Amino acid sequence: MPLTPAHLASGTVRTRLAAVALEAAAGVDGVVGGDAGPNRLHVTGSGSGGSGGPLAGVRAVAEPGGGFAVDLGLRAGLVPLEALAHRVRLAVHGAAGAAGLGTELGPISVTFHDVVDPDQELAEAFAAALDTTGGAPAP
Amino acid sequence: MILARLLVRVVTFLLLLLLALLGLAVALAAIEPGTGADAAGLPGLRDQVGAWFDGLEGGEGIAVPSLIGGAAAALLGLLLLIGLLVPRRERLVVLRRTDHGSLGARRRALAGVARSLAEQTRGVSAAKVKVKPRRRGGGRLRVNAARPRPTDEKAVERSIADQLESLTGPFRLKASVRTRAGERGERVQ
Repeated sequence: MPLTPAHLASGTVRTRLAAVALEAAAGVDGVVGGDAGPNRLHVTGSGSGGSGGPLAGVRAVAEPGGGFAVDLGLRAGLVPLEALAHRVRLAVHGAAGAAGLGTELGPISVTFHDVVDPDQELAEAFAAALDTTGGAPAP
Repeated sequence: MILARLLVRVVTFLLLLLLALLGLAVALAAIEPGTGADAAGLPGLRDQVGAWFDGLEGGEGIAVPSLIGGAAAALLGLLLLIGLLVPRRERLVVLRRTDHGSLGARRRALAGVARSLAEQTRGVSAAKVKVKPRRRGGGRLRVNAARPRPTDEKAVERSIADQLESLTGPFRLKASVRTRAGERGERVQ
């Protein structure tokens, strides 16, 4: 389920924090997108108060001392993973603060589920274009 | 574990199929008494099972096929329980863990990065990487690379290890590198 404005605007603090964190992480250069993982552990349901469906690529769990731990599941490009995780954390901190959720943000864990080779990505895009155009690549 | 899960799926499907057929037999028997049960061969089955139980009660020696069948059934039950109850473990390599959170990667992601780095090494035509996570964090990378025949095996292995340093150095990852002389026609970087 892609991130929609409804995710950011409604729901509980937990779901809003998850949505803000995922949006911030997805905007970092080097991150290809969110990934729920093979066991779909990195998913946040919208809950009864939320709307827009479950978010794939993030999980927010209440911490014993208050606040929420955010666990991101991401697909990345071929870049140094530690530096990328650092940039993701900075982006999530910034976005949570800007959304007024900075005090709710606990530890941020980053898990890379897949690394996408740009050549492979290009080949997949080309194959998708062939599918949609019925054999001839889109101009 | 994979076998147990596969077995659970197959047995679940077969049991559901059997249940559906039994339901059909019962429905037929309800519509026309005798027909459904006869069609399913239930009277014959009852006689067979009855004879087997009579034999057991009569103190006959336990036949070897029955013993093997019982043991196999117990083993199957155990496998089914394992497949159903043991949770699936996500094989993650935990690269770093601090109070501020953790950094982890799936084996496939790490293998992809390591393969890409290894294949950038001069003299390497292809590389395969296997990642084995450790329980207490970190893991082991096993790199198997192809090189052209005239190249020095040890020099290429050292170059690959150096190339992987940017991945293994910051984390508790150990790389073991092996090279093999490539086949004719394999391209070299």
